[in-house]
Amino acid sequence: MPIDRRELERLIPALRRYARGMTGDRSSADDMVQDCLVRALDNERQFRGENLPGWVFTILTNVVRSKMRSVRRQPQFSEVTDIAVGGDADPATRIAILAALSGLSEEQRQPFLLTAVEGFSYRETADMLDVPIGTVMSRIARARVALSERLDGAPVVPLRRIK
Amino acid sequence: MSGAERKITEADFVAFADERLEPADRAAVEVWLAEHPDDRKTVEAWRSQTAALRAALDPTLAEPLPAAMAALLSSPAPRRRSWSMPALAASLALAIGLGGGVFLGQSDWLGQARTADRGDIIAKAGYRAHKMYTAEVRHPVEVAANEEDHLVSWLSKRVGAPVKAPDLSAQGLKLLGGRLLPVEGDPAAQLMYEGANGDRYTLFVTKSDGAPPTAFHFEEWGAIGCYYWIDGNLGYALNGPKDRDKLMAIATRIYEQIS
Repeated sequence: MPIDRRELERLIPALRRYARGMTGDRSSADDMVQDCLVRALDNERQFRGENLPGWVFTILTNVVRSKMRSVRRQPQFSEVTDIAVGGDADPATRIAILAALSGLSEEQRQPFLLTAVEGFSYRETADMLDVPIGTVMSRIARARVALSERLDGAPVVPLRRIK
Repeated sequence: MSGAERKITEADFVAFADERLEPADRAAVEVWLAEHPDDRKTVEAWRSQTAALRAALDPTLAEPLPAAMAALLSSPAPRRRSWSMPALAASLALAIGLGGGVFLGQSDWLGQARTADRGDIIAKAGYRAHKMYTAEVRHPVEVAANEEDHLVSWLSKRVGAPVKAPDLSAQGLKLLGGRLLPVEGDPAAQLMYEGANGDRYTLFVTKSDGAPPTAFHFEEWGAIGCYYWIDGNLGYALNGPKDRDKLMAIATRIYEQIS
């Protein structure tokens, strides 16, 4: 059924945030969101009128998956400003958490961001990613453990050693 | 059952950190954490991860909507245009060229409704894809023209019918490449061409879905014009800068090469 354009527009900031977290790159992320919106509009007849956020995020996770696979890339959080400008976060903390995030596998980042940042339920996330709910839980647990290790272990910004 | 007797799993820690547990389960986990400081430290660290991650990513939410996304959402329904004389003349010529103009005598109203519907879908989807990908600087195409053979065979395979990349050098256009897209859940191909002045044209091709052949129809969306038609088991939409004569010439050239 037809999608309410205004409702779709209200989802865009969150779609961009998710794609940004997945790719680590502003322009690639926005390309993916644009692609997602085109697909949503072209396929709106398939929308059943329930849970638009879930439906659109499912499209986005598929776009992200196929794009990232096709270029075989890990996110490159080269500059923090590439993710987002402003905000209250301390820059060093922001660099550290994003660097740690980029070290997670795509499989771990997806359910982790969908639940912890985008606020989807475990059930919705399992449906979106088309995996059992137990798999979602264990991937999130692995993501959390890996993040903790990275944040506690390695120095946040590698120090240049001067001889 | 006392909370402390409940078996606590890793999933409980995750759900606890995410604040997704039911009150009874939450109480059970709290009892456990009170007795296991290491686990409590882990879960607290997980909560601060979430806070730090949100603080790092949330500023994205405040960014202005990119113009391309706004344009996509506000793109008006195409303005329906009546047939222009040159287009009618050209399609008559094509009809005769096809041998008898059988399709102009189409009297099956159901078939006509199906054609209008499918043609409309193809024109709109072609336009959206045009608008989206011609604006791309870094990734205008998925497979570039230097792999034309691969491009054509890949798209033909996915679309399910022979997709050809017409040679438009006579019109001053060179093939940039193409990509695969969905239209109503079906695969569609987009081929992109570029003129010396940087103008981009796209040819959108997908299955006609049983719709009978048509002649050329014209639609326009702002500065973009589109000729679309159905031929055999494929439907086509040519989008480009709205110069009708030039678009007609290109559409005719395409038609000559693919039929």
